[in-house]
Amino acid sequence: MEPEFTEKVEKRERIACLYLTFLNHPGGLSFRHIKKSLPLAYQGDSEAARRKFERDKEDLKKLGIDLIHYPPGSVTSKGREVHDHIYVPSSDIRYLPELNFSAEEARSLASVLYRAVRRLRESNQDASLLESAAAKLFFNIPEALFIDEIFKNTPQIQARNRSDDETSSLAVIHEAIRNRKLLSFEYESSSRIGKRSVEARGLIAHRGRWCLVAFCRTAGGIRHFYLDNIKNIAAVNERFEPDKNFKISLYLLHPLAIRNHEKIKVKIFYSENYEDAVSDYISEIPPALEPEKKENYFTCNVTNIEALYSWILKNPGIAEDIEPEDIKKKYNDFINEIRDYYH
Amino acid sequence: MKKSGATDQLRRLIQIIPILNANPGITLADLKKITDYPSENLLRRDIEKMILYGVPPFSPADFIDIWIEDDRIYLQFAAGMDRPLELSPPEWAVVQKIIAEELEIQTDGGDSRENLVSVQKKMSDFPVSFESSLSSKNRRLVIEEAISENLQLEFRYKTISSKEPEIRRVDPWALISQRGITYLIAHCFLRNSPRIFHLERMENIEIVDIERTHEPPQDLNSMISDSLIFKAPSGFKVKIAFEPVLENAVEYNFFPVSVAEYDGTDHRFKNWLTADCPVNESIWFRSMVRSFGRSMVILSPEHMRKSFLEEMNEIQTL
Repeated sequence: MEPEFTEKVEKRERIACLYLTFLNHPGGLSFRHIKKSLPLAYQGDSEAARRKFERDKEDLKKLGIDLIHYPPGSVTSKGREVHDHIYVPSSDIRYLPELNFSAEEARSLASVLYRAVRRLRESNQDASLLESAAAKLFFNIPEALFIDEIFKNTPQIQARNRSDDETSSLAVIHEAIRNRKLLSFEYESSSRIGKRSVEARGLIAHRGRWCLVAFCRTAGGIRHFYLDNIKNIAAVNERFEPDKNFKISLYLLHPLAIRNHEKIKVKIFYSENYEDAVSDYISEIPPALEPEKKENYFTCNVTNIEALYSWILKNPGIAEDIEPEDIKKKYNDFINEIRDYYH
Repeated sequence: MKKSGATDQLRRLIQIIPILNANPGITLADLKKITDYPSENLLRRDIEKMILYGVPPFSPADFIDIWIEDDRIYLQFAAGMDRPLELSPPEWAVVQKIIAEELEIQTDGGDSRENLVSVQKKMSDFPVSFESSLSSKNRRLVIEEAISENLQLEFRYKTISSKEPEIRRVDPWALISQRGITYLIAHCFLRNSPRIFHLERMENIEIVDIERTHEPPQDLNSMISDSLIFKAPSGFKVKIAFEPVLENAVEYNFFPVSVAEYDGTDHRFKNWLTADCPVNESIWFRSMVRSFGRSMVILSPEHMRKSFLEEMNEIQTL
């Protein structure tokens, strides 16, 4: 028993020292330097020692430091020819930014994570990712994690369990955006599957679904891709220049904001019976469309007038009048055209 | 703590370093609570071994400087781990997933969704837009307050088939989101049984200053999962035609069994797609088709076309 225990501890110390070493040398190190720094860890001939280090490299990867190996004679990603075995972290080592959670936010997040970890453990599933995320997120406010019992007697409703595929896609997209790597995937609908190569710009969580906003090289423009329709996603080792002027607020999925035509300012007079529904509708219109509510009407800018017509049609009786006049006329034509579909 | 390998144990220990750095004098008991170590002794033993972790050139000053005094832990040198590394992509994704799941429900044991959406934003330092998966924000906030205060609610409710709204008094239990639509699960005094209400059809919602008298049943989960609202439809088939740009929306809302190109003779629908959709509730289905405006049409069966036209004729032009 004892030798096994000793060996395990030795390995742990070795990996810990390697981890801290690369953390302090984010530009990478030669194996010669590593061997010289840790002579007791890598004894014997150089190639055998390096093979041992290659195995340790896998453990470092599990801890979050993924090393790229440049053998002698190869050229690094920065164009430098190397004359030794060089190991460089594959992505920039970044520290957790200041998150500035309020006390309420920290409490809410901590209780959500706590319950999720408990659920996973109770069903014998791996909770280590959530545990490590919690340790990072609350490193300077550990008291937020002092949750003994947050459940009340109310039966807990189990939310829809999102697919692991969607979560894996999120992780790949996150990495691609942060490291400006091109994404490749198949975009699937029931009628066709197409291969796409895109430069990810951002993500939208819209009504319970994730949507990737990206410059699609295949289509030559910004496109939206729902994550639940994406298959075989991978970050490709090709970098792109990010669009510094990209604003996700211009690509939101609110129907009124979809850009089908030039901006039109409209005025909708509504029935007082629908006060709550109108208030909710306005509260969800992106601020960029400048929605404004008055006593019996509201105004907003629209780039997709059909969406406004469809909302009025879905809520019969909600609108009493529309201005300007030509927009009202088009609404009436819209109603009549739909009726004609059924004659 | 479940039995884990050397790397898992090391990950756990490395995560402790920034916690110790940010919280000088933290007690072993508090640290055990946070890290879920099985015992303070094991935690103490592992922390004491950290003095063997260091960085090149491994002079005495290059090792983690840590000591325990009266069950309080102090760290002088963190060897570069003064604060944690940013969340890895899988960590970020799994936290987002958990929050997104949480945002779909709201019970009196839940947490403020406004706080959680704010957390989602703060955790993401690239362009991300978060919209709550629960719709009808203003109405939702009133209901959330009633749920958290255990109070009754009253509102005008128009069912999908009713011409005039009815006044409903309920004991609210939970808000739940399904495919972008928000529902209130509650005990309804008018029907004297549990009911599911579509939030967008609730008007003039008011909190009544009376404590709720019916507690949620223990089989609430089964009640929800057995409801037609939350089940994939399996009823009669309706064929629709729609503009190709709506394909995602059709799949998301209607669960079509097949999608194909339109092969009929009506030139208005040239280049459109068609879908065969199973339908449980015909009135709901027609209201959804209506919400897609002139970009969607019911092709068959005839009785659905006829009902749709009747409803359209009742809608006044302006």
